[in-house]
Amino acid sequence: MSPIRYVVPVAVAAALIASGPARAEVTLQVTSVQGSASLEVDFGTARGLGPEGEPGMEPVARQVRLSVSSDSGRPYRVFQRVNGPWSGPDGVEIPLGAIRFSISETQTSGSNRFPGPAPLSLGEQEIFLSDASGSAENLVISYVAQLPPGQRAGVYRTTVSYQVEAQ
Amino acid sequence: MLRVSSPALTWAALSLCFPGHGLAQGTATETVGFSVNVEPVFVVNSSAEGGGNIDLGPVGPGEPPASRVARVSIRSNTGRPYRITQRLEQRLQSDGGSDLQEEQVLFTVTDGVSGGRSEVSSPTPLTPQPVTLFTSGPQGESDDFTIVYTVSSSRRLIPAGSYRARVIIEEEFR
Repeated sequence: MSPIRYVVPVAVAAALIASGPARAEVTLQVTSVQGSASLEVDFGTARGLGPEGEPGMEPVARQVRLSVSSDSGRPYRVFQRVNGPWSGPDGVEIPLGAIRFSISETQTSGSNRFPGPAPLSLGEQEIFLSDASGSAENLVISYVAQLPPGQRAGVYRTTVSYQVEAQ
Repeated sequence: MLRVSSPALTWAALSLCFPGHGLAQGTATETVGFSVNVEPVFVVNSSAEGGGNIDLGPVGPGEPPASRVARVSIRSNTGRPYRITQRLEQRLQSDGGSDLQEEQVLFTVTDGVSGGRSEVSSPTPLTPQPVTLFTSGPQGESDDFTIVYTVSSSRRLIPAGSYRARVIIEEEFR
């Protein structure tokens, strides 16, 4: 048997090894619908008390658009994770339930887990399951904040992560 | 130098190097900051019970003391402790220019409903000097308290007339 007969199979093997496993690629782009340049959902300046000291404030709404695509041909899931309390001066917090969220827009027949307003809560939640073929999707998530009466003045911050996982 | 002894061994090597075909999963993550700026508000409202001015009514010799209540409401989200003070913008004076003796109008202050403390718990003459009425809780909580003003008739002769004064209620931060 001549050694030349094995040149082609070895070359093919080398090419496949070099390219690595064929991963299902998903992409996620998050933008603020309000057009904020930075990737931040800024509810602006809010009043925990009215100008005459009366309790409450008008609700403030903000929206985030999640543009998701996948090349796997299989379903994908979208998760939302609230990474920590909404904390402000001296460790004072705004209860996360003061923000209610819902997925107000979808484009495919995927499953919207939060079609109606639900309070934000710490940790991870599945918010969307794509259709069976993992079609690209544009989700608009609406957040409405209404501060508790008398909420302590100051700047409050938290972070929210969005994750897409191909199945 | 790679030496391959047979085609069968070549493809065995390939399958070992490519175990995840069809099983690998992709993920993508983005993180967004959420922020809100809560505006500081500090409001003091005071009103006479029943509205309008604090009218202590007609006072005559031998009449029992008359009392009226003013309600003071503080709404704050600043988190800063505060005091509420009172001062007379001018003495109690009649249209004819007569003054009322200071000790004829006394006042007391109740504790707050949310933990604030009265600084005038016993009857005290209403004087032009600023007086601390009330001290908030340590977090400067919103609170409500009342001031009770009492006027008594005098043993000395007071010129008849309507006596008026203007009371200023102010806040100061500790």
